[in-house]
Amino acid sequence: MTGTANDAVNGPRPRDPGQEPAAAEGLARPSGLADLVARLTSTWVSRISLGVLMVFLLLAVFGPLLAPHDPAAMGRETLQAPSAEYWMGTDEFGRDVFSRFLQGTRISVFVGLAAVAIACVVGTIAGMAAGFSSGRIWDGLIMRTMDIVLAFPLLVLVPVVTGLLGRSGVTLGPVRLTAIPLMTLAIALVFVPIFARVARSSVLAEMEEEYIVAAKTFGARRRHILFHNVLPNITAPLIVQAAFAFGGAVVVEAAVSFLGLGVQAPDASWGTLLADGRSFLTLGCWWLVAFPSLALALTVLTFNLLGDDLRDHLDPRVRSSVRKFSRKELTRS
Amino acid sequence: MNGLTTSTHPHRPPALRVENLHTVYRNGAQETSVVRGVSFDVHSGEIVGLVGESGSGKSTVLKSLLDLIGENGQARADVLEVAGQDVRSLPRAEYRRMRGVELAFISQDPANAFNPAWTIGSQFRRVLKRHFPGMSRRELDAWAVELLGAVGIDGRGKLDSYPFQFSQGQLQRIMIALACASERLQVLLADEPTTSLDVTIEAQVLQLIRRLRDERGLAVVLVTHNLAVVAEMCDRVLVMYAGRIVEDAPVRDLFRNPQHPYTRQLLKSIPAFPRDGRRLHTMTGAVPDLSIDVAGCAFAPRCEERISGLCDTIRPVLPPRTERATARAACHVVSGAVPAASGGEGDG
Repeated sequence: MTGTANDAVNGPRPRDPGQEPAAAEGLARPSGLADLVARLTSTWVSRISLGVLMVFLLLAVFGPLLAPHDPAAMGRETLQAPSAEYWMGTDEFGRDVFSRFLQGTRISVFVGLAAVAIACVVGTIAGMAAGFSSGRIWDGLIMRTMDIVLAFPLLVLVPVVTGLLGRSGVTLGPVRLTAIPLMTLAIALVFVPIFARVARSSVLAEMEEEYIVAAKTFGARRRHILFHNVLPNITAPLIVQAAFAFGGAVVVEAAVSFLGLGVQAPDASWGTLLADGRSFLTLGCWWLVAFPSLALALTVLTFNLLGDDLRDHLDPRVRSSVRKFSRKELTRS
Repeated sequence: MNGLTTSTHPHRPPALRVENLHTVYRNGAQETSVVRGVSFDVHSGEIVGLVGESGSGKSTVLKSLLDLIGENGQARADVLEVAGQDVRSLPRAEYRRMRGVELAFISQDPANAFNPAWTIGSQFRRVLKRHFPGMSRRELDAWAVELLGAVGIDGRGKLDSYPFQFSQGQLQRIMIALACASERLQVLLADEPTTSLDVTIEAQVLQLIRRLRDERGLAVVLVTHNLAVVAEMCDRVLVMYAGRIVEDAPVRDLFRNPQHPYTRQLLKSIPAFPRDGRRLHTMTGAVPDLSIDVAGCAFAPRCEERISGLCDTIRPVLPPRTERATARAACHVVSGAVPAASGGEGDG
């Protein structure tokens, strides 16, 4: 229980008169992830959206294990309303909609995640390269390429890629890309410019900061400045962007699959489920359409709320000033 | 290394030597010459103040020395020696390696000079690793605490704190500790290191810089527009106006007997106790547009002692340094037949 050891565990104490008390209390050691989770669960809205997110992730990972029926097995009971046996009813071939929904959830969520991950990494690297060489040839080359990609409407570029190449698949050396990976790549391509633009503008803003000058005067090399000084400070807008983009990617996947140009027959996604169920809506079979629609809407809503929350909580500078007190503490006093 | 020109300390080369530095910013077709032939040297153990109004080119001189002029600018000099090495002949990467080792910089805004995303400890470790590559993390941390102790901050348990958890004065002291972490440090460039600090903290930081100078024989260039700081800190003062040095004087001479009319007006503009209640002197006019190069003295339009026909046609030059480092000024009034006005501006 020496003073030093105690300090090391609990962070700075307002013992030193030079230390501002506001800086020492409560804020001591914002320990990365745990701190973020604590902040993200500070309101009901964020708690619910995090909960929904967890449910979808769990369903995506373990869903097919929970499926009560074989999603492809046809039965005699066609177009049954939801019941204890068939939680989401059955379709026109007598397949269990719940089992197919779980299968579709896995594909929709994974396609969305993979597309956003690829887009985020590629876009960030491209945007950082552009921002770092701002005004020079690479900047123009990269950003004009991004403009070209952006010029194509979302819902044209992806179906064209998957429609043209998806049926036969593309062979890249030992890797054979079938419809789903191809669609993932196409969606990623569409989202790359968004990340590139955010990354570039953030890099441009950060490069003006005094600490970059300080790093230079300490003899830091360019690579160090870019990856150690700039990157950690631009992750916040990128993560926020990724949260919004995930909602978008899931919708694009659903739309393309709905058009019949994405996920193909034995596989299911929220989009194909909607496409399959749409013609039976007039027969009053609401359950075919309701659950995938609900899942889609919930996903987009959840990720937009989450994106907003992340925006508020992630920026170290916002964290230092605005979020000194949680909302609860403010309302209490 | 071997004495190229006459130096006031012939036995030792200056730690920093600048000869005829020109810095030009380009904005489209327009060229703005911000620094116009600045020469000076700073010896080990000497604090040289660089004063002048905003836009006189003081900070640009430092930026030029550090190779921090951006894409749209260019700095040229006949000689640019740091620690006896002409850095112009060095490859860029080589000069980069010297920065932070032989030459360090303290900025005016300590709060933003630290990366907000990393803890103080990790920023320390990264700098120290350059100077002591073999050290383990534990050793680096111990060394960081030691360095912090030298600037009056109890670093124990604080290495895991983020920059925003410190006050401005603490951050500036931490910055100085970081800048002086290199054992081979010879030249310290400080760009208004105390502007963002309150007066008590300012005194602490200045005292710290002076102590480091005494202990380690640093050559310090102190950019400031605070003449009180100059009086307290500096051995020699360079007064800059419109990109040129207009007066170079030992600090005593500058305040007792300022030579250049600009310096005299600057000193008259300081609010001071004996003149309390009287209207403070205000300089007329403004800093000239640096994109236009006038033929005569850049200060002539604002000068009260202007000799018409001479000052606005022929540019006065700074006389070369003599063996005895006395005050010298780039002014026709001072160097010519007209005697300098009898000092008397000393504030007692």
